[in-house]
Amino acid sequence: MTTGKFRECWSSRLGVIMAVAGSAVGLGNFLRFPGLAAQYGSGAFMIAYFISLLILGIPICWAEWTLGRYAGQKGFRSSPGIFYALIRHPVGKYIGVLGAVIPVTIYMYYVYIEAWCLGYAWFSATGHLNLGNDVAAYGDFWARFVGATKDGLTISGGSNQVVIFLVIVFALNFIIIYRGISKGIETFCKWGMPALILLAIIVLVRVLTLGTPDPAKPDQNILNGLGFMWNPGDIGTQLANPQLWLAAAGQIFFSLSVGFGVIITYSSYLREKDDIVLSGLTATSANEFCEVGLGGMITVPAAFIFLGAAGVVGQGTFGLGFKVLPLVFSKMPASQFFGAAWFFLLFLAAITSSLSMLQPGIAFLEEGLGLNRKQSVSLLGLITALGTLFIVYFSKDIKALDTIDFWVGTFLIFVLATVLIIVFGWVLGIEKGWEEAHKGASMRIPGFFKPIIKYICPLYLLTIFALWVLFNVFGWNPKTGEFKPTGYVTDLISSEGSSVARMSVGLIVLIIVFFIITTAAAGRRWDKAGNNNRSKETKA
Amino acid sequence: MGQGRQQQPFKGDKSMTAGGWFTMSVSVGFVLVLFSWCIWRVLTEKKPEDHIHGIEDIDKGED
Repeated sequence: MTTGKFRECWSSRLGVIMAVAGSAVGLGNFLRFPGLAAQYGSGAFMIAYFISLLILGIPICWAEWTLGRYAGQKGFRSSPGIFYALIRHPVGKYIGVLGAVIPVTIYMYYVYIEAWCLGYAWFSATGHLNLGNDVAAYGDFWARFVGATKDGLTISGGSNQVVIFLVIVFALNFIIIYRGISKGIETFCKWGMPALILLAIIVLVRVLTLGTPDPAKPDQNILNGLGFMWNPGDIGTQLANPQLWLAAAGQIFFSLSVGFGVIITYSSYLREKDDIVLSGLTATSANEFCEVGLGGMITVPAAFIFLGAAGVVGQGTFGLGFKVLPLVFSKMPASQFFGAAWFFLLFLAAITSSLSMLQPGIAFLEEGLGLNRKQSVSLLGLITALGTLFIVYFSKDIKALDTIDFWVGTFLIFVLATVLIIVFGWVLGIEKGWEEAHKGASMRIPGFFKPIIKYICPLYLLTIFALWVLFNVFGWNPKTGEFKPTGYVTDLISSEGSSVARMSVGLIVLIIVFFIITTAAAGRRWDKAGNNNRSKETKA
Repeated sequence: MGQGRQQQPFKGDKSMTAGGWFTMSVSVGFVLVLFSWCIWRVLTEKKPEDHIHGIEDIDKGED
């Protein structure tokens, strides 16, 4: 089927690689990975991490690139359309709805975090983030800035600066996306990704040359900081811990943006003879370089040097990124420059990801409903603005953001990734998928990946998913064997639950229903177009 | 995000051990070599069609 309207494509191979790498490289590379590696004992964690990369990350990436390009050749650019082409059953397009719902919903809160990064870059550059030596001051600043103390604070209260940054990044995202795949996303990522890597290298050199900044605390030096990050613990015991495997596989999984619906959309704009094997591997390796080579060398060692182990222990992603690191950078020589560079690189990492979250929605509205670029950008802008407004308003304890991230940004991604790998290995078929992947390929995929993709990857993914549900939904304690549902569940079902969490899940359901209804309408258009094409072929 | 409720205590701190140097060198070295090799392959490979589909032809449907 061809619609005759969608002729966008990537203008260069490096451009699509930078765009996919930009989609993958995000805050998790610089904030979440280093914390997990240090937490679980880096030796054992890195073993589990690289095994997961080999049997989970890289195979799913290749599968997504292949499925997207395959369906793109049939004229489909959106996830429902791609699954309509892949699964020749009326249900297929509804499975594909997940590939539109996930990125669009994640965008609604991700753009808010992106605004924090830009805001922190600005405050660092102007010296407003030098708040002394007490980490609590930085925690208070963050809570006021994002409205974590009270619902509606950022909109109706006095501390509404974050809204200014939010409007800027929101507008910037839509201006870039309006310019299209090549002139918008590709051009931005071709400049943004090298700039991000350059900024990270500048900050890395600064961190590695810090030595012992405070002579009164000789233990807090760069070697001890690196030791805190990289010294392995008891590898054998740690590898027996299922939570370590869950953390390592989860990090690979979310870091590479597999199962988001982004890679299949991006690769649908490729041509039949465009290489996807080397391009997919290059985008993956770019993400790994940023994560292990840059994120792993900067964040935890820097925090350790200035705050010691006590300052790093127990910090989550936001705690490390927006409470600990501002204090760390404020203590460095030339703090304004390095603080601004750090938060601006986080902003670049975030915007290259958020752009990729919009394209699946744009593609669906254009292809499914026949809207033109201006109409689809306007409609998606309205939908995402309403969702973001909900998240920004219900900012107390960032409850809305956290709830949506859990159910969409983690749970649904597991579901879609599982579907994708099963479709590649079992619906399209491993032999056909293999053949498709190698059209125009610059290199061969080693043969041992065939059984990995068909058997090991789905099994590993399902095991990790089951473990994730056991730990994070049912609250399973492997030592006692007891189940105690986590806060994400009790927030929804307990009489003392959270109304904001329930409304957040209601918002997710609303978005899913919207996309299902529009997919039904799109399906009728596609069926009609398919019938017309068949009639023409018969007459010819 | 989404995993913020499952933090566990960090391991103890000490200076870089031989194991630490090994873990860091192998991990960072592997991703650096892989990334460099891939970029080198992409940039040096001559594919004639690489430069001929640079025209973006968007039908914005505004007619």
